[in-house]
Formats: sequence, C-alpha cells, structure tokens
Amino acid sequence: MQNFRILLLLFAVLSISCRKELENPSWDIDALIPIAYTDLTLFDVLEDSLTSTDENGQVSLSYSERFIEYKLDSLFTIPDTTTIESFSLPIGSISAAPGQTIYADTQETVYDLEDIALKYAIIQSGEIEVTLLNSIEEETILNYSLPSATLNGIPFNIIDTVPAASSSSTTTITKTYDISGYTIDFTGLSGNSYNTLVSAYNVSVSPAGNTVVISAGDYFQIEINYKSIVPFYAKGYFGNRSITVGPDSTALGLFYNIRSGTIDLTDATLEFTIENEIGADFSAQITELTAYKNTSTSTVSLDHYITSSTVNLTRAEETIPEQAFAPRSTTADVTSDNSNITEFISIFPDGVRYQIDFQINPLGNLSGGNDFIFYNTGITLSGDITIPLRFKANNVVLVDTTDFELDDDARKETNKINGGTLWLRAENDYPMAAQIQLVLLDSNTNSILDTLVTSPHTIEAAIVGSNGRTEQPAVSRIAIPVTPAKIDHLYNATSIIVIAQMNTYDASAVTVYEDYKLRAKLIGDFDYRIEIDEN
Amino acid sequence: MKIKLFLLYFLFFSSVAFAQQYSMREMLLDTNRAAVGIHSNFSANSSVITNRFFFKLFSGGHISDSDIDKMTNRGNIINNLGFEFNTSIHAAFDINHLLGKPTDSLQLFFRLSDRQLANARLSDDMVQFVLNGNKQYAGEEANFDHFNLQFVRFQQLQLGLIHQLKSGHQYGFAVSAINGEQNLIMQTDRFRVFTEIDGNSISASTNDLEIYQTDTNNTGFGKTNGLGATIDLFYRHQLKSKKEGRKAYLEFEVQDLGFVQWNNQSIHYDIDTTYVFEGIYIEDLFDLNDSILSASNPDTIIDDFKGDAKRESYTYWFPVKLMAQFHLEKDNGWFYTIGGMYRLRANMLPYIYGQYGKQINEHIRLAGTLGAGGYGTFNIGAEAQFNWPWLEIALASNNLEGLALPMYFGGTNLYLSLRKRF
Repeated sequence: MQNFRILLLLFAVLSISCRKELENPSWDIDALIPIAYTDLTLFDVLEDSLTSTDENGQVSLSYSERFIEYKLDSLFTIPDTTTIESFSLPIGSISAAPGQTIYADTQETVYDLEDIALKYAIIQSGEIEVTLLNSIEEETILNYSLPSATLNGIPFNIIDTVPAASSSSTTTITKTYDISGYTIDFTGLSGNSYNTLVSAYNVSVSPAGNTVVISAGDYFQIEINYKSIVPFYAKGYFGNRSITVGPDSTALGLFYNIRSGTIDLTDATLEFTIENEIGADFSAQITELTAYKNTSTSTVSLDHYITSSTVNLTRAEETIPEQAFAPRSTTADVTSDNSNITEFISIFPDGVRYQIDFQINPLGNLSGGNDFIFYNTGITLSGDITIPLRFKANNVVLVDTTDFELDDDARKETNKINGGTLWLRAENDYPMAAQIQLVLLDSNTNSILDTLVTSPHTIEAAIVGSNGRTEQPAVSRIAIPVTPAKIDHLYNATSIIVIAQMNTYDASAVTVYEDYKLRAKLIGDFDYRIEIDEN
Repeated sequence: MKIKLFLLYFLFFSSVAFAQQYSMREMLLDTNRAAVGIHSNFSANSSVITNRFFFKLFSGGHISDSDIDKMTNRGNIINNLGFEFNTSIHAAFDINHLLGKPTDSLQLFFRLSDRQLANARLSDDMVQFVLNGNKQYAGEEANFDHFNLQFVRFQQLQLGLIHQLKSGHQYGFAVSAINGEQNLIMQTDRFRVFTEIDGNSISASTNDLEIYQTDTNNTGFGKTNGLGATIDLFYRHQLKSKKEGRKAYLEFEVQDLGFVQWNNQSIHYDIDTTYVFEGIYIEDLFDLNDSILSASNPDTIIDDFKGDAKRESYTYWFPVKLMAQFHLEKDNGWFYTIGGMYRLRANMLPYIYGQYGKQINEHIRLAGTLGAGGYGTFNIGAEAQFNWPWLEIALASNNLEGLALPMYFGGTNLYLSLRKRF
C-alpha cells in the first residue's frame, strides 16, 4: 500500500505540467504594418486666428500685431513735491492758553509741469506724508486740509496731535495718508490758475493742555510730502512738446520658425492703424519702420507714404466725462501697389525696428485747456497683415524644436523591434516639396544624439493643373532607419528638431487652397519579435 | 511452465491491448473483482508545427529562424493541429461476481475526468503569415479560407456498464454528465488578408467568420458555463482461434456522442466585413493623449474588426470519436494490433496504426507502434506495461520521432496509467 501511495504521488506530479518561468516564447517575423497617420493642414500648424479663406477656397495668412504701444500717461504724472511750513518766535515770549491758535495759513503749491497746464485730476494712487516737529512744551494740534481735494464731496482734512516737547528735545511725528480716489482742482484760490494746489493749516495748543509759554527759538514745523501721485484722469492743456519714441524694436512671432530662405509673394496688405487714446491732438512722423531677420543681415524698410510724411492724429473723445473715452484712429492701407510690402514680408521678419516723432497739440491749445488723459493710455501702432498664400518659395527652412520624451514603459514593446525601417509615407496635396530631417537632441548636454532621416528625404510637391489647383497628391516615402541604437537615442532624447526645407514645385507662384492637406503615415517595415506574453 | 504461467497471467491480469488514449477500454476489469485507477494522456500533434516550436511555446525561449523555416517547409495547402489532455480517476466493479454469479461479467464503472480538446485547421498562407510575418504578402492576398479552431474544456462524470458474455464478447455503454467549463470556436469559409505593396494598409475580409466564446471571466477547474451529456459505446468481438493460446478480437468504440449547452453569458460574433487597417488615426498630432494610445492597442483593433457581440446560449456538439482495432495475441507472447481512429468535425485526418509487441515476462510487456495520419504525418511509439497481481502501471508515448527530432516532427504524446486491483 505504501508503494501504491508513492506511485500515486509520482503520477500526480508527472501529470501536472510544470512550466519553468523563463523568458517568454518568441520568434521573429518580417512585418509591414501601418502604424499611425494624420492629416496635416496649414490650419493645424497655424492658429485659427491666423488663417482665413476666401470664396474660392484660397487661404490667406492673417496676422495682427501691435507694433508699438506707447503709454503717455507717464508724461502727465504729478511730480513728488515737498512743502515746508514753520512757525517760530524770533524774540521774546508769548503765553498761549489751551485751545489757542498759534499759527494758521492758507497757501498755494504750484507744481512744475513744464508746459502742461493741469486743471483737474482724479487720483489713481498716491499719498501725503506729513512730518511735524514741535519744540513747544505742550501738546499741540495740527489741522491740515486740502480744500480743493475732495472725495465724495468732502475735502481732504487731517487733525494730528503732537506731543509736548521737553526742555531739551523736540517732538517729531510722521504720518502718511492715502489720497487715492480724490479729485483735485488745480486752479488755485482764484479758480483761474493751473498746476496749483491749495492747502490750509491751523496749529493750536491742545484744549486739554495747559497754558504754555512759547519762548524765542521755539518752533512748530509742518513738512508735507506729496508722493507717487498717479492720476487716473487729468485735464488741462498738455502743451506743445515733441516726443521721440525709439529707436526701438518689436518682435513678430509669425515667422519665428522660419530660419532662412525667401518667398516671392504675389500680394500682401498691411492695414496700418495709429490709435490715439488721449484727448489731445497729435502729429506723428514715422522716421523708421524696418523689417529685420535675426539670422541674416538683410533688412527691408517699409516704403510707403506713412513713413515719409506726417500723419495727424485726431484727439480721443471723452464719451462720459472723467470716466470713459473713445479713441480715434487713423488708418493707412499699405498694399503691394503703393508700397514694397511684399518685400517687407518676404524676408520673414523676426521683428520691426521703428522710430516715431510725435508732437502734442501741433496747432496749439485748440481745446481751450480741455485736453484729457486717462490712466494707462497712450498711442498704439498696429497692423493687420493679410498675405494671400500665392507665392514661390525658395529654400525656405522651417525649424521647430519640440520637447520630446518617450515613456520608458514603452521599451518593452520597442525592444521587440530588431531592426528595419520606419517609412514616412506622405500624400502631399500642396504644390511644395519639403526636405525633411529629424534631429534628436539631448537638451541636458545640448548635444545632437542622432539624425533620423536618410537621403532621399524629400516629400515631393504635387503638380498643379491647368486650373491652378493640384489634381492628385504626390506620394513620397522617406526612410527612417530603425536600429536598437537609434531606439535607444529616442529614449535618451529630450527634444526633437524638425527641419523642413521647402520649395515650390517650379518657377511659378502657387496658390494654397483650404482643402489641401498632407497625409503623413508611419509604416513599420520591421524585423519584429513576436513574443507570447502569458502573464 | 513459464509459458503457461504467462498465458494464465495474460488471460486474467492483462488488459490485453495497450490503451494510449482516453477510452472505455481503460475501464475493462482484468480481475473478477474490482479496480481503481488514475489515467492521464496528453497528446499534441500537427502536420506543420514542430515539437521544437511547441516545446518553446511551453517552456519559453526564442525560436530560431531555422526552426521556423523547417516548419514552413513542412507546410501543406491545409495544415492541421490538435491537442488533447485528459486526466481521470475511475473505479470499476464486477457486479455479477460480487453477487455470486461468476458465469459472466457485468462491470459497473464510474469515471471522473477533466478533459481538454483543441484542434485547428490552418491554410498554408496562415502558417506563413503567422510564422514569417505579412511582409512576404506585400501586394498579395493571403488566403486563410476554411480556418477553423475549436477548444473545449469540460469535466465529465461517467457511469458505465460493460457486459462480458460467456462467448467472450463484450459490450459497454456509458452515460456522462458534462460540466462545460470553457469553449472557443472560430470558423470561416472565406477569410483573406491583403497587405498593400508599401504597407499603406492591411485589409481583412470575411463574409462568414463566426466566433463563439464562453464567459472568459469564469474559467478554471470546476467552473460552470454550460451543462451537457454524452454517451459512449463499446463493443469487443472475441474471435475464435483454432490454435491454443492464440487470442484475437475486434473492437469498436464510439466516444463523446453528446453536447454541451453553453449558458447565455457566452458571446457570439457573426462577422461579415471588410476591415481596412490604415494605422491609428491621430486627429491632432499636437495633442497626443491616452485615447490615441488606447486606440493603438491591438485589442482595440481586434474589437473594431469583430464588431458587436451577442450574448446568447448555444449548443456545442462534441467531435465524436470513432475507434476500431483488431488485436491478435500469439501463444509465443508476441501480439499485433492494427487499428484506426477518427474524430468527426475535428480537423483531423483518419489515423491508422499498427502495433507489435511481446510479453517479456510475467511482469513486463513492451510494444512498438507505427502510425500515420491524424493531426501529424506519421509517428513511432513505444509502450511499456508493468504488472503485478495488485497493480498495473502503463507508460507510453506515441511520438518518439518528435522527441528525437523535435525540429522536424510535431508530435508529443504521453500516456500514464496506474491501476490498483482488488
């Protein structure tokens, strides 16, 4: 019986399959598999706001850029100003009873605003710092007011108590008051002045104090510091001064990825707009408007009447007094007929250099002192560029760098590729050929790890038919060799540089239509390891 | 004397012919009382898949290109493969003997089995496609017509009677209750796969691919996805011989005549489609996200191809197995067997075999087998049986050629049997 049990056990063990947990079973096959595809159009590459389509389906590039945004409110700020008022007894002595006024005065402070005659302002922000020095040996009270500065109809007024001085030292206190939101009348006591602030002081012995003897040498000083006053709104006559803006430059983002090459455009327009947000007349002379490319020395200056003559800018309209305004714009159509705009754009400018001379109120005080300005307003120069995509491209090199990271978890799958070729199959509707290169970059060391594409690497241009449209897509195949080393580089790369050198298919200009697309497909032609994963 | 002892032993203790497969023959009592036993037989064979490939699938490791080439060189227009794995325990009693009627034998047996059957029919293109990839078919259509695959696992509780007449003829009848555990059926008459010349697309077209699959979330020994019943029939006709000590018989068996009714958690695909795979479409190249990654999952692609499934109950008829053999025992200890076997609707060719062996002594009996057909081409086997009055052990393999030259042949077979006599 014992033998039987042993045999039974042996039998059971042999009957149960006991597969060793070794590597998964695998074998190699030659696979030819479409992996992924996408349809690329200009609309995918460019933001929707940058493209438009006409009734014939022809695509135009539309781009708006605010070249210059020059804030002029800084010209009308109220400078920091300090006034000092003091009372002292030169000889003898007086006795002052509790509550008795020692010193009182009303005075005008005139700001130096050069040729600006400011009549009225609403304060966006600012403060008044009051410093009081007292050598009188009794508590004194300062009553300080700005009768022409009101908030909700109530004049600015402060009452400060200054402690009594001792026989050996004076008393000093400093306090700061916010005057944001106050409206200030700068016409002075007469109501006909400008840049003038009226203030009133009254210094008295504290009613709760004692009669005090003020001797020769005793004094009381009031120092008022008007600090960082920024108007939300200012009104007056803003003078006749000239302002030069620039030379400076502003960057254009439209052609940032285009590194070299030229394009022969058949047409382009620039609607140039100068907008005046200030309630004062201006004249403007654009002395420089030059397109430049960072990667080359070539520049093109815009040749148009707007760059060769003075432009008068009508003042803005105050639609709701002290609250709202409507800017006034002056526009100029810059076209290929009246300018060199196509050359200006054809260098794919990275930016525009400019210099503009403005003159305020070129015809004098036509407003009768009613010029106005709101906080954070000024003059802007902007342009709406429209480029119908009918052109001839000459070795236009597009370069784009994209952060790139392959999830390490995918190694399990990619390690099954023993080698082969990844084909990029392109069906191109566009009448432009593109030579493609992909460069893997390790941005940590800023070193090139690998180039992926081997020659020939051209996506061929579709041929344009007699109707100006491409009739069928051009099919091209670009080989990307795949080796274990290249796969490793893909995992080690942190970014990929896509370089495309584009040329139109012949010497004629071609037109881009909205229904054009580039169908790009990746096809794996691999020696691939089939692995049976039983987990 | 030795010969007489041998004959005596042979008559009373031997099951006469070796049984290398699941059969009612295993239930035959060679004593006049009772026996219990345990049996297991594993069999896999293919006209194209070699053992080297099969063993690697089983044990892991890389299958070399040369091994793949040897398989594809074996390929025919039609290629079959089959698999069977049965493990059972049984108990058998001679009722008449127990009741004191020893004139003839009426045997009652119970058998509890765990059984797995699988088979498939593959076209040569399908074999080439799977083993070497689709690139060789660039610009061509790979023909997978008449692809058929079925797999079933079930547990079987069998109750049977074998009646031995005085004449020596025996007939048996058994009924079984079936616990259906899992089933997969794939079958089509037309299935083509076309790879564009440059790999731009791969298309699969079929107009009648049917897939039945039981609940894959409910698998494992004893899990129930269906219930069924089968009957088995057995008949052995004892031939009379004028020579003393010579014994011969003809034997017939019908096995697995029955069905399983799978429950309504089973899924059924009826696919009539042309599916073109052009790669995963990336709607926005600049916004790759998880949904794209999931779309690139092969399971997703297969789901797209399969379409919607219906959950429904269906009936599965077992592939009925027919067996016949002629056996002759000579008085000098040598014995011969020739036989044939065929499973209906199981993607196999008829299998014929011949066996030649000798009773070496009262404990040891050895034989060799030569067969052809079935799921393979031809096979060479060897069997050994060790007998004591109280115990019988049988070991056999029908595919020694597959063990010796696994890179050229595809058969694997092992039979183990242990029987305790009372």
